[in-house]
Amino acid sequence: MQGQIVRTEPATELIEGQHTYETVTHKIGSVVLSYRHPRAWYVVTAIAAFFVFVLITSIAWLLLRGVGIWGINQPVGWGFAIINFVWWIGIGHAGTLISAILLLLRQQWRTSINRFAEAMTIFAVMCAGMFPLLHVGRPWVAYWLLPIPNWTGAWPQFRSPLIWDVFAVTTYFTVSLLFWFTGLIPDLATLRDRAKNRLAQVIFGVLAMGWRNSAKHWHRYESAYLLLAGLSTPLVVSVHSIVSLDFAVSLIPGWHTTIFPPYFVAGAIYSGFAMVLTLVIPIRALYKMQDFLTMKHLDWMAKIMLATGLIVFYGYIMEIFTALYSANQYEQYLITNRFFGPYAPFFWALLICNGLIPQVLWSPKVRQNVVLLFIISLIVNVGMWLERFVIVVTSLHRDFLPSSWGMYVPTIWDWGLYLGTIGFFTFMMFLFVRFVPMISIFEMRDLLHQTDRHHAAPATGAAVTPAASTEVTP
Amino acid sequence: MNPVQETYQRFARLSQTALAVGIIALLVSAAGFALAGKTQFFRSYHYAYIVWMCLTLGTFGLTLLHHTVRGSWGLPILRFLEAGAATLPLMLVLFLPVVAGMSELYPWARPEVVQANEHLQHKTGYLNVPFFIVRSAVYFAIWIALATVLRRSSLKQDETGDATLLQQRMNIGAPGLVLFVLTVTFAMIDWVMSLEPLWQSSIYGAWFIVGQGLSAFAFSTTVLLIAARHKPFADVVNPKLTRDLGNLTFAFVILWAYTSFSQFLIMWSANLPEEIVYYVKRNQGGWQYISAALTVLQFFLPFLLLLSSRVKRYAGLLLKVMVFILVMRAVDLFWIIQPAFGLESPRVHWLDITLLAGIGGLWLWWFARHVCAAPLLPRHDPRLQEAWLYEHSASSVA
Repeated sequence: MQGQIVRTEPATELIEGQHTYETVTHKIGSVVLSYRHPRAWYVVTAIAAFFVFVLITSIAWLLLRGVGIWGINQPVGWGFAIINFVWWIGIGHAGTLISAILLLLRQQWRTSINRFAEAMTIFAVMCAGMFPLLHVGRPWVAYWLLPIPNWTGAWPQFRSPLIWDVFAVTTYFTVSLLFWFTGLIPDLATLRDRAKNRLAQVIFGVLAMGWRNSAKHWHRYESAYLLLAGLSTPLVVSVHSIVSLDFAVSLIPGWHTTIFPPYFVAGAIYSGFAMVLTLVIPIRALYKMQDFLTMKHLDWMAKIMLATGLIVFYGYIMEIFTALYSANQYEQYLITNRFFGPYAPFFWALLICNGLIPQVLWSPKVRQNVVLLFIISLIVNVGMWLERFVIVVTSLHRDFLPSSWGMYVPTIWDWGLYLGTIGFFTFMMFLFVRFVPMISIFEMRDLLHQTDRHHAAPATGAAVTPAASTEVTP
Repeated sequence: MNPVQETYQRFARLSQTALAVGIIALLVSAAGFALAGKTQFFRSYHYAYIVWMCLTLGTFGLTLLHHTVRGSWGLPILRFLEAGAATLPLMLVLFLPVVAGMSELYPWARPEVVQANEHLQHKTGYLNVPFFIVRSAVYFAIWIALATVLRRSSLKQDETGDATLLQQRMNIGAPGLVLFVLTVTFAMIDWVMSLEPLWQSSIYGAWFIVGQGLSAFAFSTTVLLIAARHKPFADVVNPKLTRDLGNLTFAFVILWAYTSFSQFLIMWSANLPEEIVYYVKRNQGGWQYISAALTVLQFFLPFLLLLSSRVKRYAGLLLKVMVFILVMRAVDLFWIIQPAFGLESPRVHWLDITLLAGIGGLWLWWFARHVCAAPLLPRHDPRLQEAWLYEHSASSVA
């Protein structure tokens, strides 16, 4: 017991090792400015590039032949396209939570992961956006989704959450991109100043937008960043709430349930943190960033994953309970079908991946074990994908009339597009690591400054107990 | 007499006054039992009980939350939260009249109603009198056990200064929060949602938990700000703390609106007869004005007020907002509960008021007694030193 007590307060700090401002700048900046990269970087980028070609091929063939090449059919009209859309957009949410909400909550541990997580958000939203665009069948007229008063006089159906999705996702992408770029400007200026190569100097110089490190620049920068954080915060909740409404406003058993908005938001953050861990753990080892991405960061992320995972599980419990309590035969059949129907293995696997296995994160020992954390994060990624599969497919494939029941089997083109987006995402993330400082340099320097001052201050022992506290007793 | 002892005296006086008010109000209500009939009595009792129970569970939930996340915002209000949670045994006793009045309150507890309705017959596996009582007993057992252990540990640390107790509470707090969410969800389904047994909503538990959190933040901040006129609370209340408490309340105002609107939007769009009836009832015969008032006064107004940093900086302004939120919570629960009894237009019966005062009097009596029974601030909690530092860093700003 005693040992455990010590353990739950990890002895690690937010910055480890002996660092000065110069070593922080060098350690992070040199990844971008030097040409020497680990061999693994080339191998992964090459494999990811291959899948980018798979993606391009899948899209090209789709545009030539139409959505008939996919496994979607009647009654399952929403197959992989919607499953993967929801999966990807959920993954993005961790980035926004880390960069915006944790900033407003003054959580210092966000500093070394926010840049990374924001990049992840942007690429994940790009992947997500592809799916509904391709699913509409004629992507070249996708602009009809926008309320442009066109020559046909046709307006989108404003009461449909599918239209709210268009607004929500485009706003989300725009704000995330602006937020990310704004946060990058001081670092881009640092790179501009440190680059030896003329081309790099010009490119970083243009991107730094004339940053001169003046007090006025910093003042404006801070207010802009805070405003963008305020704008992003509702987006963490609104985007996935609207995605959940795509399902919940319908009449389909399994979709029409009021817990959906908070449950989807929690699921999004859950999968997002799993993806951050999946990416951070190998990259921190690859570039030896253990001093900045410490065990404390991993511990915090694991805790958030555990908490949001529990909320998701609460969602399952409420769904099942409400269906049984409702005494509605369709709702009850849906639950039976999930547990024992043709897609039952997916449902059970989902319960194990999302509900059972992540419970080991209660143990501080597991949260301190990098390999285990990596494995669990992969399991949660799979679990959250299965969740969307179960929601989409089991509700659609058997509805009210047994005569219209059917099955859904994805085709090779479904898989091609899905694996293609994973390749695209990995490819973009690895390019990001190569060309942009993966950790915010100036925020790390600021953090170093704050933690140094903290150490310099008198130890927070009994000495600071104010006199008033002695008067508290009756 | 030193200023801290005076503060104790004030809480002791509050406890005596509350007890007197409570007993008188309950005696008047007992007369109401004969005058207005037992059906009205039990309905008013149920409403008043749920209002105070929501506050109790809210304070208990925030105690668990505080021990789990260990934010320094919780330290100055910790003793109020603990004292709120300490009323659970009292609330268990006060629950007995609800059990006694079950057949008046719950349609599913009347055999003739169940026999006439096929749907209700399907639900008897869950909605039946013995199982209801067993479930309620289990909820109370879990809550009282957890609240007692945490309170004891916190008081013991005040005496011994043993810092490992902090970690011990954290180890209880996190799983305790999981148990809390599950048990409160089902308690609210049993006690309130099943008043309309043919209607269900899966967000119901979350909706109530958020509302309870809102009540508890508003209540504990109210008590703190009133007590802050004197020592020792005067020493810990500063603009940084009021801003934190204001922001947390703000977050719960938003969460309340979020859960309420989610439930409404999903039911409104689907327009299924078995679900929409809930909102149809609450949007006619005068109830629509309460619905609108809740939207404006329990969301938009506090939202806009708490958005302003001025309101959060000045204790006097913040206090007014918090009291207002507490009043709105009672209106909100009136809107949730009374239409379920078939009240076609919003009418406040005098028993609603006397019972609210009666249960409230006993509640405050118990609450103030528990505040008096311990150091007013968690003395040896190492984080209070954090909070003190916090104050000193802010005093230059103030």
